[in-house]
Amino acid sequence: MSKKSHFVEIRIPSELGYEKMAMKLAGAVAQKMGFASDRIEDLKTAVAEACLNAMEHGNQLDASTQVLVLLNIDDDRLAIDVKDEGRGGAPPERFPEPDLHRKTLRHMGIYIIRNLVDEAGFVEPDLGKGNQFRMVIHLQR
Amino acid sequence: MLNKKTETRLRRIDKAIIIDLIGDVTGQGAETIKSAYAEALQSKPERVLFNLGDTEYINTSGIAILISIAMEAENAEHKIEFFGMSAHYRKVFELVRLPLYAQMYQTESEALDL
Repeated sequence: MSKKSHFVEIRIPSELGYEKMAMKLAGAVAQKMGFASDRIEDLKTAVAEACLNAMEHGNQLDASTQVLVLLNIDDDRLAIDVKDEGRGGAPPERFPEPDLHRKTLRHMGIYIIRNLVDEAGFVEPDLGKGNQFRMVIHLQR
Repeated sequence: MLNKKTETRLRRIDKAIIIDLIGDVTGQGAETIKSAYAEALQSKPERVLFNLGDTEYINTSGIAILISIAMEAENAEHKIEFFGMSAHYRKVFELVRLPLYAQMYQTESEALDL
């Protein structure tokens, strides 16, 4: 039997607080798929941070812009793409780790995301103009 | 605004001041949290503890506030302490190495039972 992906999509305004909607949706889908509760919490935080990055950096918190959150649901894999409208330009090529010793907290969001999901990074945008960030978690059976 | 407003409540137990953080801990709560901390310091307690048991959502802006307070405390040669955070947020705090600057406990009774 061939695998068929299912897609769920929401668009949220670039307004702080709306990332919680994307969080809850991602959590609900991950729960339906059978992910363990700790992984669901990890995913929710990762999605919230990705949305906040899109709002703040990608969309410059312009209230007229939106963040697109696309969930690609397979049997054993959930991929979530977060896309902004590119008002803030391209993301940096490298994201050094935040360093509390040197009191550098920049890029803390991306650092946290990368440690909470199986795969994370910017991908070539295939959903229109703007930056597209993808997070993937795999269901281990 | 979809974020729950950050509210604080101060309690004194013996020589410790506990700051209960209620609601979401985000950048929008910065002034509220910092004001509560400043108020706690006025009575010169031996310990200042933040209770995260009533917070549901903490984002990186909120974590940054807590880190900045922890570093401010360290510069003044004392440490702030946290208790009540969920296992998930404890993991996130450990990811950003907050335990280097702040003591963490699971519960209030564990924190105070020294």
